[in-house]
Amino acid sequence: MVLDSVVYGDEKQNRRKARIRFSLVLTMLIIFGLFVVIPFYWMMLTAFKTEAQVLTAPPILWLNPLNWQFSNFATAMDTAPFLRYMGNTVLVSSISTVGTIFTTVFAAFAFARLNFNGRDFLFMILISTMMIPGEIFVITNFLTVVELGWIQNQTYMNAILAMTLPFMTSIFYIFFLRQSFRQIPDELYYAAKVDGTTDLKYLFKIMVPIALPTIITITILNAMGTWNAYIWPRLVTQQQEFRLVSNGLRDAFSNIAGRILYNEQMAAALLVTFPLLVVFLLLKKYIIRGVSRSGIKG
Amino acid sequence: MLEDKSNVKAWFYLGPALFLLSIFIFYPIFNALFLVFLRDYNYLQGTWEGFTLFENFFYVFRNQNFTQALTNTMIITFVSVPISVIIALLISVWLNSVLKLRGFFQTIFFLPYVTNAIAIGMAFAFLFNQNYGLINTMLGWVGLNPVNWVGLGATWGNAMFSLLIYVVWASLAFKIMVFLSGLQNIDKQYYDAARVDSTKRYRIFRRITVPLLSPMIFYITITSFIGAFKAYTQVIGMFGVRLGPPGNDKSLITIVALVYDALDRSGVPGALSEAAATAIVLFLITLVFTLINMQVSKNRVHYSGGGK
Amino acid sequence: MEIRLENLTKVFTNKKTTDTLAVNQLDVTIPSGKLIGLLGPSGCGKSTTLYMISGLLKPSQGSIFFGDDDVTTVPPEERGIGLVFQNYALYPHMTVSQNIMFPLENLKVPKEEALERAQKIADLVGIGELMSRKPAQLSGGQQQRVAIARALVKEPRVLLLDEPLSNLDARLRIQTREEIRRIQRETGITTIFVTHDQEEAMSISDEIILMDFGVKQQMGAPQNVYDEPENLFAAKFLGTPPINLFDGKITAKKIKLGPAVIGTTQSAPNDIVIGIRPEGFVVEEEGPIVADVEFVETIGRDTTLIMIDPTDATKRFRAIVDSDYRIEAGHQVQLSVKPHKMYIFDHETGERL
Repeated sequence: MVLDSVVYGDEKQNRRKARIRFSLVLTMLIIFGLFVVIPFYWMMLTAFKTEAQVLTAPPILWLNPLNWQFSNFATAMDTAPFLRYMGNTVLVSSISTVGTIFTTVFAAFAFARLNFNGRDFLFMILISTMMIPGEIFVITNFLTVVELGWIQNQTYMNAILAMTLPFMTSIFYIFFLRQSFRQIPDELYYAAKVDGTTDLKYLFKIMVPIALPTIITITILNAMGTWNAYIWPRLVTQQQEFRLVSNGLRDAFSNIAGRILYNEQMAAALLVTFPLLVVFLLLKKYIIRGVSRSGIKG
Repeated sequence: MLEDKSNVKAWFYLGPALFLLSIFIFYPIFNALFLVFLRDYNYLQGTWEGFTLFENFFYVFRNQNFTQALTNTMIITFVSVPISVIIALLISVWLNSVLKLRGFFQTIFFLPYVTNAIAIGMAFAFLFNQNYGLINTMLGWVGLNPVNWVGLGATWGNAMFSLLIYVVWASLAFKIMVFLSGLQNIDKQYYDAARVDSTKRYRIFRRITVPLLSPMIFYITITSFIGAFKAYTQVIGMFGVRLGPPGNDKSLITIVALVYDALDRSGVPGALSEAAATAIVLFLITLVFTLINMQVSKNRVHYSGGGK
Repeated sequence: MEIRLENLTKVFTNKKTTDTLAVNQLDVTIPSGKLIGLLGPSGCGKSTTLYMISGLLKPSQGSIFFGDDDVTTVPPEERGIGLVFQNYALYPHMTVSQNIMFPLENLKVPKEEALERAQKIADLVGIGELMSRKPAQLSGGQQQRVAIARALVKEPRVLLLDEPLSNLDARLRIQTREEIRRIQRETGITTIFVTHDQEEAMSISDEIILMDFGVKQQMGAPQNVYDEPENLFAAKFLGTPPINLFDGKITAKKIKLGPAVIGTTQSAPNDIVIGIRPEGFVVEEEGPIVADVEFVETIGRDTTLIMIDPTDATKRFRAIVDSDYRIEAGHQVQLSVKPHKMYIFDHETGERL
């Protein structure tokens, strides 16, 4: 009897408490939700304003869709070849993702499944380099790319090579893939061995399909990494039209002397952001699952 | 058979990855350790004036922007990481407690994960615009005067404040995603048991949720610290290559910016060694704080039996 | 296909700890076309033996013959074996039919023939209707059958099963073990299965091989091993409830349990262990063993008496007697022993005397 009253209390009162709690939580979520959404809203709003509307104080906070000025996007496109930048970005991201998956799947298989001298030692070395900041590599990698002749009189091919080759493998992804390969029971491998399956066939017919969620995650993470890449492409590209979206965006709106045309700047920013948002909404399930998993180190 | 070593095969599988890693990871590490001890290394001619132990590090410390860069990096790290970890933790607990609208809010909170840092940085810069920005308008609603956050001649403090808001905003999504999936993996039995014992909500949070989530909080905190020490793109996104508000150039410079600064002068003798020395200083700072972090967390992180 | 193991030995070497002798000089001949149970407690080397027969593990010493072929160094895929794993090891992303056809793919069997063979074998094991399901959509028993079908589809010379029933619930276990028996009879394939469950091994095996500490303890038809254990281990391992053990003595050709003389023997005077099966006691007024009854359990036609060991009051022993006797707890009974249900073992070596 005593327990009852402690656990359940007065039912009506409890329900009211729960409702109050829910409203409080909802309020907090809305406040922080607004904090997250406002920059996006501000970007979109500004991207559709006329110059006069942008330069109105206090700012206009709502714009009737009938009055949207779409020409800002055209003007932004004239300022810099954004379609070209997006094309470059998609190309660089595809090449580096395919390359990364190829190299990491093989390496992860060796670490997860094969038995060879020095395996644990080598793996430990790889893991310990993950702590070292990328800037230490960038210095020499820049020199390497110069030595390879990809900077002087740069062709498009050179630029693409310089932007992709250093990123065609990743210790973190090897580690990540190895983890998911190791979750596959050993018996599957033995069963395949008894049936005369070669290692290569086992890798592609059994392991890769089972670890597909991880591979999708790597693809998404890699693609987003390229979409955000700013420093390295800026270092190794010699011509404007070889650059990626981030560089294009920053450069196009940094060099104009005097007044900044915010509506055009935001239109360009929206152009760059929009494809990613669409991809996110389409692949939301995979991205959330994959990213959460990559954060939970096994 | 099973126990047979497959050495040749293993190296064949490892080949492509190891080849690339050797060129772009292992060799650069050794080369950086080599460069940092060269005196006046002239990269264009491939010559240097003998070896030196500390000279290149002195260059780093004597760089007129070093103190500023170190201060900025430290402030960005030690303000943004704790704040974003706590906010992300709260948001994920709240998200986890509502059933209705969870999917909707999840989408909202994860949005910043998939954006372009430069594009959003520009949007933030305009949000903080003195005359036409939303922030000052909102301050006006509560009767405060407009502030020059990021405009011509804006003070270091104002600019830093704006930057921090952006950095926190940008780093929330990933943490919320990870925490939320961690929360969803906690066995409901613990909560049922706590409710039967009529434990108060905040005590459940402090005594059950946080300890059970602690390995994940620890992991996220460490990686966030490592990431925050490398702050740079966010500054570029908001302030452009001037690294500060107009008229106050380089006031928001960071350590990584110093590395690229030196790298941009790669033709000048000694510049590459300075870049290497700066990067090594950054590494050492990261290492020291990671070790401190691990030491501090040692007794506070609760690892469950067979858990990951 | 007769299988012969000669002097088979497996040592696991480990850098950190000492080496483990998992299987020790095993000599066994497994007759063709029989269902053989490899039985023993966990860690006795039975799975290691199975894996050596499969070729997944390499023996440290000794040879394995399939018929007249020495297959000791032949890789698993060339031995012509089918192997069923304890956790079934079904490929989770493939359908039942893809799983069953997978071994045929490696043998480059044309697709149509493979489909036909897969269907035939699936019908044999009773999962012909489930061909398009994924493993996750099947019950444990169905997964087990898929695993057996996959092992059988390439028409192996030998079928090996590693703890095939341990992941099933009790009811399904009985049903599945009869199913295994039926499939084995219908295909006539030499089959070896590993188990730690004596009942499982006793119920369906033609012969059992009893192992402990990597050493073969006894081999024979289940009832023979039960009736004529060659050593203490064999006597202890088989039988539920287990055999009762008493410390005894042989003096002047008499077997003595404490003061009671319960039989005669030709063996020399010695300290011995006397094993008496629970069903080996008879309640008789003139019986030589006098014991206090502590509990009486009557289940159906059997009455189990739990009694205090007359040689050691801290120990208890069981007798299963006819329920015609009305015996109450707290009373004393006198018991005699059926000679063929009693075994005596050397106290030191455990060998049957």
